[in-house]
Amino acid sequence: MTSVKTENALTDKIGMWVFLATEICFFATLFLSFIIYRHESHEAFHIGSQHMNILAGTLNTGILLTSSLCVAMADLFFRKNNYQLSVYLLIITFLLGFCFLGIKGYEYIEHIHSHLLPGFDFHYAGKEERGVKMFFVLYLIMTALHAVHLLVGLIVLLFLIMRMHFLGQQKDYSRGVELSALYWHFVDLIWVFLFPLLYLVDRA
Amino acid sequence: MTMYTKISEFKIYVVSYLGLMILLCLSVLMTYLNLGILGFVFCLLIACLKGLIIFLFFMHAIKDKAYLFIFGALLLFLISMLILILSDFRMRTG
Repeated sequence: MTSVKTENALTDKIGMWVFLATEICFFATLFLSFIIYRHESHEAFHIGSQHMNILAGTLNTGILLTSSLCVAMADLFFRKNNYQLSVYLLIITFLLGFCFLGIKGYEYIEHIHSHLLPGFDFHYAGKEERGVKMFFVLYLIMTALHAVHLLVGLIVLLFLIMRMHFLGQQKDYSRGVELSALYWHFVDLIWVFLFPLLYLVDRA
Repeated sequence: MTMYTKISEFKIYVVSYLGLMILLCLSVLMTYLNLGILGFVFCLLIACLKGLIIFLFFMHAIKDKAYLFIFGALLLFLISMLILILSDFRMRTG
């Protein structure tokens, strides 16, 4: 019985890793598109990057890294049978993820007001208009897809927190905590590469 | 017992987190120095380093060597695809 359980846990974990590997391939195509278009219209990407809110981006990166620490700690304390602390850490992770989305939403609103978000009355009168638009198209696609992934992570976390806190079925969720932590770290990992590409490299 | 299991996981997480925060500050500071192409390279190197810390310590890949193989193979695949696509792109655009 125990060996079947161990085998199931291993299968779940490998399944998660394979899923994450396919997700990395998915994001890699977006990164590649960004690099190719940046190579084509370097000046335009430089102009586009100047319109990024570096403070919001840095704050968001700090928030995501802190949330990653919290979820890793939640997993650790769960394994040490400290369920209550684990639930609290998951709640903090959830709130930090929510903050991230709030700041991202604020950034989108800022871009909409400056007519820099494609699909929302985009208007840029300066030089390299086509290239700048491409920068913002890629920015929107990459960050929105990342936000969707984060939203999925938030839903998973909320489900876990509700079950663990209100139903008290803590012991059945060891795999759930571990796998959702893995997924959360993956979301963090993607942002770690998105942040310098969109906000920093063409800034100087 | 490996070195990783000897040190408490709590400490590893805290040190990794501090390292990530320092690297974040460093990458932001780097943008204010006019380093040209070096700035681009440094920023991406720092991002790779941050990614590696998350992958190895937060995602426990350092403990489970099998996952290192999965990601090694994935990385090899991605790099080869990147080289093929970029060389094709360069050839077409001259």
